[in-house]
Parts: sequence; C-alpha cells; structure tokens
Amino acid sequence: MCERTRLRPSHWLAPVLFTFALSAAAVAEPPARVVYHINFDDPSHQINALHNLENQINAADGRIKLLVMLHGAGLSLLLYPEALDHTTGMRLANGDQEMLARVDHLRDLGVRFLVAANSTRRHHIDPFSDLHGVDPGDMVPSALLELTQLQQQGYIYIKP
Amino acid sequence: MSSSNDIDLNAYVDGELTPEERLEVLDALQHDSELAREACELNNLKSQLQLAYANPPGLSAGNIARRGPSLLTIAASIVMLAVGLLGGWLVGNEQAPKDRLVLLDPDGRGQAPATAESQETRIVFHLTTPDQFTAAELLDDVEQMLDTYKEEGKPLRVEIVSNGEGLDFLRESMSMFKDRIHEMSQRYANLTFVACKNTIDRVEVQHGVDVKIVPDAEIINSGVDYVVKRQQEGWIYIRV
Amino acid sequence: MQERPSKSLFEKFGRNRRLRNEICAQRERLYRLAWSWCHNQHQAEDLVQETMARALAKVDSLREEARLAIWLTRIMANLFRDQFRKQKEETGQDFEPVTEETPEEVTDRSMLVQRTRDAIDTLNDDHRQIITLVDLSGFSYADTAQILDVPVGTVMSRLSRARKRLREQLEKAHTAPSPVVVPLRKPS
Repeated sequence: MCERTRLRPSHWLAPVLFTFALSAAAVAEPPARVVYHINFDDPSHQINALHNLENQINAADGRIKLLVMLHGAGLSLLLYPEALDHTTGMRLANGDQEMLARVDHLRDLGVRFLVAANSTRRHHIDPFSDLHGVDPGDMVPSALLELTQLQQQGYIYIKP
Repeated sequence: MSSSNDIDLNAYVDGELTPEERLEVLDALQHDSELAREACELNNLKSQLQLAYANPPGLSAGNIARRGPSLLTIAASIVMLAVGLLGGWLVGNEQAPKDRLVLLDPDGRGQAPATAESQETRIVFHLTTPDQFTAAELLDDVEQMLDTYKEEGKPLRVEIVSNGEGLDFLRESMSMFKDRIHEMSQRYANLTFVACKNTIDRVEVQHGVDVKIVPDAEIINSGVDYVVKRQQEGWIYIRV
Repeated sequence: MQERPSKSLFEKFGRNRRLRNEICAQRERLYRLAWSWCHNQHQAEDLVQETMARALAKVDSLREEARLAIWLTRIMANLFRDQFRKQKEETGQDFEPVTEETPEEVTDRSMLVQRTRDAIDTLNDDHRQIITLVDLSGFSYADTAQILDVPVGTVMSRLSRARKRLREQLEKAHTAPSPVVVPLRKPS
C-alpha cells in the first residue's frame, strides 16, 4: 500500500472555503467560569473539594472565575459550631478555625461562596450571624435555580 | 483463558442472553454473592467507560469549536456546485442548524456560529443519595422552579433521575415522598421521574427482594448512561 | 412478467442523498469511537474523514439501510487496522493522550475519567476495539462480530479478557476518591 499524505485541509481547502462560508462569528476566549456545587456535609469531602478548587485556580493561573454554591447540608461548611443548636435538620457544623481559614484564603483568591436563601430559611439559619463571612450579595433565592442559570450563562458545573 | 462462567456473566450484563439463560444466571447470582458482586462491577465498568468517553477532545463544546461537515463533503459539494446540483449536500447533519459551513482559520479549525437552539430550558436532576433532606429540598426547589417558569411563560422541562443510592426515592415500599411525587406528576406535564433499571436489578439481586417503582416514574436501562446522553443533547445537569 | 425497469436517476439520487445525510449524521458517534481507539484528536479526525469519504463514495454498495451504522463502523475498523495501526508502527509513535486541550478542559476532566482513559490506553488494539464497540457504541455481539469480521465466539472471549485486563489496570491505579466533574454541552 502506498504512503498516503494526511489530508490537512488548511493547506489547500481553506482559501477556497473562505468564499464559501455562509456565516461566521468570532469566538472570544474568556477566562473559564466554574461553579462548584456543594450540598453534602462530610468534612473531609468538603476539604477535598476546597483543595481541588485551589488546584484549579493554580492550574488556570488566575484566569478563572470560581463560584461555590452552598445549600442543604453544604451550609455546614460555613456554619459556626455554636450556631448548630438553634438550627433545624443540620447534622454538622464544620465552620471551625481550620475550615474557615481555608475558606478565607480562597476568598482572597477571588472565590465567591454563594448561599441559598431557600436553604437557610428551611434550616432556620441566619446567614449573616450563623455563617462565616456571608454578604447580602452572596445570597441567592434557590440553589438549583442559580445552578441552572449559571450553566446557561456558560459556567462549567462541577459536583465534587 | 476466560472461563465460560466469565463469558456468561459478561453476556448477562450486556443483555445478550435468552430469557431462559438470563433466569439461570439470575438464579445463580442470588445464591452467590461473590458472583453478584462481579456482575455489579462489570456493570460499573460499562458506565465508567461511557463516562470516560462522553466528552472526548474535539467534540466538547465551548472551548474547541466544532468543525462543520466533513471537509470532503464540502469539497464534494464544491464540485456539485459546479455541476449545478447543490441539493442536500450542504446540510450534512440533520440536527445541525442550517448555515453550518464555517470560516476556517489557518489551522483548519472552524469557528462555529452561535447556534439558535430551542429556547426551552431542559434540566436533568441526578439523585444519587438516600438522604431525605436532600430529596425534600430537591422537590421543593423543583416545584418552585416549575411554578416560576410557568408564571413567566418560559418553557421548562425537568427530569429527575434516581439511581444508585437514590433509588429508594422512587420505590413503592421505601419512598417517603410517594404522594408528593404523584401529585407533582399530575400537576406538571413537563416533569418526569425516571428510575434506573440497572440499580433495580442490582437491589433485587443483592437483597433478594422484588422492587416496585412508583407508577408515575419511567424506567430506563442505565441511569448514568441516561444522564450522559441528556448532557450530550444539551440538557443542564445538576447532581444532588 | 416484465422485468422491472431500473430505478430512475432521480430515485437513485434521492436514496443516495438520504443515505449520505445519514452517513454525515453519524459523524459524532464515529468520532467518539475513533478517539477511543486513537486517543489522539488529529488521528481520530483523519480516521473519521477517511471513513466517511469511503462510505460516501461507495454508498451504492450498501444493501440494507438499517445496517448503516454497522457498515460504517466496519469500514472504520478496517481502515484503522490497515492504515492507522500501520502508521503507528511506521512512525514508531506511541498512542499517548495528546494534551492539545485548553487548561479548562484539563482541569474539567475528573480523575476518574482520566484513569479510565489511561487504563484503556494500556490495552492492545484488539481489546480496546472490542470493549469500545460493545460498551461505547452499544453494538450487539453479533454486530460486533460483523464489524470486526470474526466469529461471535471470538467476540465473547475477547471481550471477557479485555474487561478483565481493564479492571486489573484500574485496580493498579488506585487513588483517593475523586470529584465527578461534568463538562457541559454548549448552553443555549
């Protein structure tokens, strides 16, 4: 069988096809946008996720916009242990010094931790006193709605 | 060399046995937990493989833009143009939008135009946990979304797929949400509950029980396969 | 009884056009399979291009339209065996996963996905082909036998061995539990 040169269209087809194109749109290369979805309360699982987050920031060399969507049992990530008693249906509060130090470090790197109002209401959590470092701007009405909208805006979805 | 046992088990997992053979294997599985575990692992292997190749580079959306129809069809269509028989050569893929020919940059990569896909929002929720709170919250949030979208006149389609540890959610004998599931199924035509047959089979074999799924739910072969397929079709994916 | 007149040019053109459309519609499925064999984007693209070129050229020879997917895959399997494997030998090139991907794609991929791909990579071509034909493309044993031009018995024993190998490989590469990363299709 004779040797075949691979068909590399760019060599001869492209000039012809420029005249043939019917439509085109330049695609810009924006920084990656990613949302991590955390709804579980196992502390080592949470820490693992935060690790991966940081790895991702390093891998992208800062050209990345990262959000963390917390709801349900995931609120435990920011929940102060003292606050656990007056909440409903929360098994764990993982907001100890070590965890919160990690969270703050990530916040310094530009990560935003979003909190779902549906969840805080359901679990009788006051987001501004029971959770660590939450701004009104971090509150969203519903986690699932938010995750949907973010994906529609092109965010990449990660469920650790 | 593979033993004939191995081959039978593989054939069982691949759905290649006759009904009688299948029953024989099922029987063997019920008496041999080691064998049952094997079958489980083979199943998992299948799903793992499908997941591993769901999004190979060159196909995944967003970063590397899709190429248009095969360049040879384009080349051929140039010829056809010359002959005056343009016909259906420009539309290679039935699913593609009409104007699929794209400008090629010097690397031979296409810059695909923004596609005008359907305006319907389609979401598949993947329930893989037995946690009741998660399930309750899921139903609450989904219901809220369904109502909101309806009020705003925005088309929405939702599927809730239960597999693995999340299957109890749809089991007649185990689900704490049967009434709610039924009520929501009636109220929302755009909501569908889906149960995974692989998980059903696995539970039946491992616990020696008959699994009955709530009548409102549909049953598909593989939950993982299904959610992967949905994503390939452009559905939004959320796992709870 | 009179002999049936040969199909008019229009009828034939209609059938061929329909078949050609269907062939092009298979592109993505073919690519996914091709990539699982080559683990190299350019090679996979070339393999698919050539497969489709051949298929489009000899669309007349397809007798049963319902078997289109099998027919196409068989062409690709033959091409892979004849040309692409040969290329590998000639250039001494290892089928290493090529990282032409953007950083986003690399970090997106879960470790589980990467582990699985790496494990598949260690399989020989026969094993890799058979596992992907059955599990990825979902062909039956009978169809797979036709695609690879081997008896069904061979399909069964080869598949069983391939899966065993794959599991051994995966068990070797044991790591801590990894996140499930799900890259998205293009949003609407």
